[in-house]
Amino acid sequence: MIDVNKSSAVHAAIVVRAALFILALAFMTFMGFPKYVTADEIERGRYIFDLAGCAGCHTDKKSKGAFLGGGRKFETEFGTFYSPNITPDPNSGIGKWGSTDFIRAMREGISPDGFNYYPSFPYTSYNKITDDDLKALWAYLQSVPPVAQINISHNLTPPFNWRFLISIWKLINFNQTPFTPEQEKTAAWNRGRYIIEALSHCRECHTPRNIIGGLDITMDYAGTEKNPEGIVVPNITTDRDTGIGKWTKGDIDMLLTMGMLPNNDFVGGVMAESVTHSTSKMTPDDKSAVIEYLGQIRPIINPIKRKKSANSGESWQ
Amino acid sequence: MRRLFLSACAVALGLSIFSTNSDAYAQDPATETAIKYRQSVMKAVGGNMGAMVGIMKGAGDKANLAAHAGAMADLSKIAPTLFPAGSDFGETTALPVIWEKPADFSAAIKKFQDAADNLASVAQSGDMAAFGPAFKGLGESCKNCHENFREKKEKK
Ligand code: HEC
Ligand code: HEC
Ligand code: HEC
Repeated sequence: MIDVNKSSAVHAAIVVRAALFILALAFMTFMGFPKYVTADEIERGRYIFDLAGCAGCHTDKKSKGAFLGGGRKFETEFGTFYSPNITPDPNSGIGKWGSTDFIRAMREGISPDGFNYYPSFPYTSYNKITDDDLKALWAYLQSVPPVAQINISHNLTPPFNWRFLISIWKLINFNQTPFTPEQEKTAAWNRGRYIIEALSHCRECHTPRNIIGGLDITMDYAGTEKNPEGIVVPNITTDRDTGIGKWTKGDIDMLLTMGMLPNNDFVGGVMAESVTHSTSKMTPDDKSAVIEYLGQIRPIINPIKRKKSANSGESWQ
Repeated sequence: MRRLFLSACAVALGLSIFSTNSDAYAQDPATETAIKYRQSVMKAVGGNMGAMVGIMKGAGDKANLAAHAGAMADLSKIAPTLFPAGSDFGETTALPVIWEKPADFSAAIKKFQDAADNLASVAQSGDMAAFGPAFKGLGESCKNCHENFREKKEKK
């Protein structure tokens, strides 16, 4: 025998629950997204974090420092910079920050106390990261283990140690236009451009700088024989003789995946770090998007050579 | 003045008779030889690497992968002799940290040798499915050492 009353009670309960659920959804949509973060969001944030290569700069690998504990040294012609601790430690890290503090740092290069960051923190590229990606990145950063490690102050040569001068620098060199996809281009091209310009900040190294360290966009991606750290950075425009215009898609794929060059050498130093932290972790779709965008970069003739010392000869003694 | 003139002639003629006592040669010849030897071995390492890429892309004969992987395993055994003390000074892209952190550098060499041995035995066995991942592992060991111990810096 069927208990009619019980069955309709069950139905009523289901209807009530469904209605509540719909109400809750409507409420959440109305109020904006829920405050709690999901594991998915953190996972998405980790991918943004990887492509953006934050780990390399904020971990002092040479001294086997803790993950994101900071203290990595950058010796430049402006003096020595040390990266700060970006773990959620409340005292030595950024544990007291809210998401708006984080977004302001990444978008505007301004600290919660209102001072300007040096562009050695590449917010000049990161300011093009989308809101959604910044939120996910923040969710991920809050999930990493806190590390108690006090920041080391930079040791810069005057006038570069005057932070207030950065505001003038920004007026000249900081292009704050947000990333806007170009409608007439393919989705892959736009995605590739977003990864290259905003996340993986290829321009920060491959575009030469003016004497005050601003990017010289007229020479976009054309390399330099001496960056502020004294490193030789090759021309990666599509120029056939001085850039990578003769490379095949397969050559670029090998570089992004393993760091291998068409002449059988492997990249070293900072580019190898970019491969380790960023390009080797790209999904196949993102990798082909990057390849598509790279293949359409405007060719610029700029031969890059490692300056040889006067006495070096190619022959055996 | 006369000495300078002679040196200039010697350099112009490509002679090396003054190489040990002339000021024109700031570089210790033994160091330069060591650097040149290192770079030559590295080129051979790269050559075998490139040859394997070629075969994987369809050139030559797959059976020869074992020869290249074997050569790589042999060359990896030579690697520890390529970095005599003092050979960071000169026309080289090797970083001084090689000599400052010998334990870390030995670990990078060990990683290279293990990956090369692994690739050689996979290639011997003819297991093509395992070859790709083993090759990637070897590439990883090249990048690891170049990342930490090599940089193309401006020459002073
Ligand atoms: C090229 C090296 C480099 C990369 C890559 C980099 N940073 Fe930084 N970052 C720095 C340096 C250097 C500073 C210090 C700037 C200053 O003191 O003005 C800094 C500062 C910061 C700060 C401010 C911390 C504080 O205590 O005020 C945050 C937050 C930060 N970085 C987050 C990130 C995130 C997130 C990423 C990846 C998306 C990232 N950084 C990638 C070098 C880097
Ligand atoms: C931190 C600085 C830095 C960043 C960021 C960087 N590169 Fe590089 N890149 C270099 C340096 C330095 C080299 C030379 C490395 C070597 O040969 O050992 C290089 C080499 C290359 C080469 C090989 C060119 C040649 O002719 O040998 C390509 C291609 C390249 N980078 C593409 C990229 C792309 C694409 C990105 C962004 C996803 C990127 N790089 C990000 C510094 C950087
Ligand atoms: C233990 C460290 C180490 C490992 C492992 C290593 N290399 Fe190197 N490699 C170097 C150093 C250091 C140099 C720079 C030599 C110099 O300029 O004196 C170099 C230079 C090179 C060069 C350039 C030689 C020239 O001057 O023309 C090639 C090509 C090369 N490596 C390929 C490879 C390949 C391929 C692998 C992996 C199969 C590899 N290397 C593994 C340290 C290493």
